Amino acid sequence: MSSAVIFIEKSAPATITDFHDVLSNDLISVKEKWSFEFKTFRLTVKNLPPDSSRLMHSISFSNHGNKTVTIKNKSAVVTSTNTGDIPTSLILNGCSSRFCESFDHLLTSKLSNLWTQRQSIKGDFGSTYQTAELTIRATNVFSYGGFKGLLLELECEGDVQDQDFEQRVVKIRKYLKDIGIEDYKICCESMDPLCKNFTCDLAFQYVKVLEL
Amino acid sequence: MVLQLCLTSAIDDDSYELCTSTLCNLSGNPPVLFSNFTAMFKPNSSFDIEQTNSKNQLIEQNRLKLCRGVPLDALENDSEKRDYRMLKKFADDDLKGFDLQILQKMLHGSIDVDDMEVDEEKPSEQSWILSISDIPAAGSNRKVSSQAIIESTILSTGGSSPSVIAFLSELGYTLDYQLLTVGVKFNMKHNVYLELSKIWRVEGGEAQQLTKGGFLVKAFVNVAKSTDIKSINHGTNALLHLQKELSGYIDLTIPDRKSMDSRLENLNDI
Repeated sequence: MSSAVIFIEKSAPATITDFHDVLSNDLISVKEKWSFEFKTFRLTVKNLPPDSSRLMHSISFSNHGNKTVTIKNKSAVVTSTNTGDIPTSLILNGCSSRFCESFDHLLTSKLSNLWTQRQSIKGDFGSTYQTAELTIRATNVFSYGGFKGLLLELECEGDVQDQDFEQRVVKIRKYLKDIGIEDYKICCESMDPLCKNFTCDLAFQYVKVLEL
Repeated sequence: MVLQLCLTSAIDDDSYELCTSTLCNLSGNPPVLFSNFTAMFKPNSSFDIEQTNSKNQLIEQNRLKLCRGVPLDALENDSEKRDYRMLKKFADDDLKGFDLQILQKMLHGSIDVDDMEVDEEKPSEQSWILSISDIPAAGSNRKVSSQAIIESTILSTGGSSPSVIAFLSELGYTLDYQLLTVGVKFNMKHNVYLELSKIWRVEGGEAQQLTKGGFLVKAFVNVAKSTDIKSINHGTNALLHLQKELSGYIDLTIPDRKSMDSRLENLNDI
């Protein structure tokens, strides 16, 4: 599986409709609605070395099995609030009580002397477009009620050569050019090329395009 | 936030066999063998950490508990012998051939590149349970210990420093101490679980048994919400019923709440 994330800050709330129109010839179907939430946390410790990073990001997806990815520097963890996701073995041997909460909740309650939440960016009720080549998720992004831009998540299931995927992304970029959008951030990198983890890499791409 | 109601006791090594068969009869279920690895983390001591958050609420520094199962075949190769009787061989520090390296591999990830095929691992082999517990509620008229625990599930880790210990160090936490638990668990009536366990402290490639000469006995009920009074009363009564049933044989009592306090400076203010 490969993915790429595009964030178009210089757009209007109606740009998503233009994008739908330009895509319409390739469209096989319009699928489920989706949403995500992106939060930034800041480490409040005072005596950190000046060059070390203080920011940590967490991204919760409504798709991708309702998972949350939390990324700081080069490390990421995937967490879930879904009781069904807890491996049965961990419940049977008493590690888990079967009642789990979100990692964000742990951060904002028990670790709030270490970490403070700085910003929250949300994309609600986005559209999912299926083409022959890609699954494209598009949503308008808001921060505290204010419009921030348009976000596109491109995803390709199954084993696809990196080159093929790149070409499919190029095609989408051409479409964006057709509707007059040339200034945007795009990321298709993975956290570690040698050790790919789809969910972590996708979250990493969100961080790269949404980070101020 | 889960509320764990519990009562504890201890038995000696010689009573183990009779005790398991008694509990087996009482519960109507065979004992389930389990083994866990627990790593406790504390806030990085080189950090200058505020005691209050941005809303000026006092937040006490608490240890983080990271927990995961240990494959039972690593403890006992012979599947025929892998039942509750297996515990009898662990009378002292010696773990009878168990490779402590397995625990370090879990925490730090494998250094061997050939082992890094994450896809082939089962989900349970990548998952961890992360939790923080409050000090059990105070009060002299309590009949059982009740402790609030907040728990989160880590499904997998990623990135170019993919180990769970690397992430926790980014989070501001460092390893404090490590425990290995091997025990049996009974599913008693009314959602009460009863565990008999042996615990080792693992440090620098060596293990020291903390339960030498005996077993820790813990009977507990987990209540999903700390506001669910009905379930709490129900759980309390179930535990008290078990306490009465076992009285004279295993005396289940309320554990010392200080010993269950995971705060960093827990000795200063009680």
